[in-house]
Amino acid sequence: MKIPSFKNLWQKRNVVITVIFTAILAFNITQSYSKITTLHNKTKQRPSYNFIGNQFEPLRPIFNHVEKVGYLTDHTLENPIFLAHFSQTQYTLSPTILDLNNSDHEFVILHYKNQQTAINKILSLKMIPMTTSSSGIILAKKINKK
Amino acid sequence: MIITPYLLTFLIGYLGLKALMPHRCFNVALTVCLSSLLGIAESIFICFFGLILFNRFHWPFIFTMHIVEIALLVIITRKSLCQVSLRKLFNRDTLVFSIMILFCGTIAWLYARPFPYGGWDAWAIWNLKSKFLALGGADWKNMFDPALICSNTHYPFALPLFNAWTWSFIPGTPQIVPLANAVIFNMILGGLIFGFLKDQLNTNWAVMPVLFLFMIPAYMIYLSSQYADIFISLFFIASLFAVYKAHLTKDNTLLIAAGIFLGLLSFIKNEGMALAGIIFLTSHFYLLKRKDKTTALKIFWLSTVIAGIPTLIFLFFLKPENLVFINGLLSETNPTNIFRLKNILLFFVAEFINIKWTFFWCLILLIGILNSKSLFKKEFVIFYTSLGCYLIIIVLNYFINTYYEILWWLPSSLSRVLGAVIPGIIIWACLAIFKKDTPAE
Repeated sequence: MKIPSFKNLWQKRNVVITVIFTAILAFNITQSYSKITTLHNKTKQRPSYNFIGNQFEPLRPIFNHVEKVGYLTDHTLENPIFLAHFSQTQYTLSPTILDLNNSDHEFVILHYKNQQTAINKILSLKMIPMTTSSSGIILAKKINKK
Repeated sequence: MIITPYLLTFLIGYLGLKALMPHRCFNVALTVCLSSLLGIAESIFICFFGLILFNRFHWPFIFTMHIVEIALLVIITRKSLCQVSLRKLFNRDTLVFSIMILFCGTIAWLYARPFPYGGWDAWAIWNLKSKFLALGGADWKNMFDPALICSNTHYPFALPLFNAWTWSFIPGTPQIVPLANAVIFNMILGGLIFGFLKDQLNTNWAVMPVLFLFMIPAYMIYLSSQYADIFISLFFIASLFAVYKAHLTKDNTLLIAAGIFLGLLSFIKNEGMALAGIIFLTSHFYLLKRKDKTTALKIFWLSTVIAGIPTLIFLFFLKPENLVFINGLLSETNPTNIFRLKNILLFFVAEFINIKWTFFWCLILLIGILNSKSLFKKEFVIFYTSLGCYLIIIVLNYFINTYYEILWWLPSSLSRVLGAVIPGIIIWACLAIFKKDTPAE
């Protein structure tokens, strides 16, 4: 049997690349299929996409023409879940800006670990609670001093 | 109504391309994709100047400007428009292209649909800015407020302007629009890669690299996440194509297109600004060799500067302070050090061999080893110098900016940053392997 020389093999290098390319492509097709199937199975199990900010959709009309709203929390935003909470709320309520840990606004959103702590905070700020979301986040408003 | 802005944008782009290059006949894929990108660039420029003039996203002005520009372009291009034959369009190439972009759109849709709000940066940065533009009225500049520190307020806003434009004709800011935009960008990306390779290699096998790219799950997740990185990919390869083709054909009108693409590229985000600067500089490898270099340079410089006006206005008059930057070379509290550099370089290696890329980088390395001679031919100087310089700038950015903890920053951003240039790498590799040496047109 004639052993191909290195020169011959070198000339066929693009054939080698094409074969490897095809093998990777075949592998990727199976990977894509399984990834897409997994994604869609997850969606079927949880039909409504869990975008935390959606719970604030009903509040949007209240914030018409409100430039800034306070956002008080005792959760650490270094935890991605609470940062996502904050960012998605910001997205839903934009163009109103959420001012983190600043209560010096007419409206304040309180996201606390314990609802009693949140209520105590509202009382100490001389505000009134307006509404509570399904996950216990409270919207409070300053009492008018008329 | 929802398709009105897309139609206007495409029309402006198509007529603009005809006006710019009345005698140049691109393949169908390139005509459609370059028209789309030129149109997107022009729509964004109109939106931006509307914003500056009226201090709000003034859609009646923007709509009127589109109509006026279309009317002017129809008058300018009426002769070449009469020569367009629809019968010529129905051929095998068009069929291959149509099937391919439908395939790209379907794959992108399958990945995008489970996440209608896109990825983290979509809701925290790009779509958020879009909402400030679309709903903020005269308070649109609130998107630069320091309270929005998580939203990279110092970034330019080409993509948000396009999103706001595509929201113009429907009430509210429905999420389906940025989602549809992400799918459309994927279709243009597939079409542009195919068109570029078809133009150079003259084979419909140019669909294979597109198929390969769209079958990398990790990459598709980034592409369909409504991020600006796909926008960078699009204008990156469009400007590479225009400069490279201008070099081969000595056609100065392509340099005007290159300038427009570079101007828009610099208005997408900071990485785009760096890439635009790099391509602008590396284009001189081609331009300085030309016999008519004075004319070519004048045209290229002028078109880039004019198209870069939005970026210049943003940089000098609008850009807020970058709140997420600490110069590690000068800082006493957060100094950079050799361990940071070591971590960065090690992470690059780890990223290249990460299984999520399903051996893509290994294949590129193999091509690099086996075809190093053809990859680094003078003809492809713009590809390897721009990609090399971009890589160096990325490493320097990670090294110098010590605001973020590097072990958090790299895993959360490097894949996206590298992903933006992957189409350019694929095109370069395919050209190096399969392009036969041909004399310039």
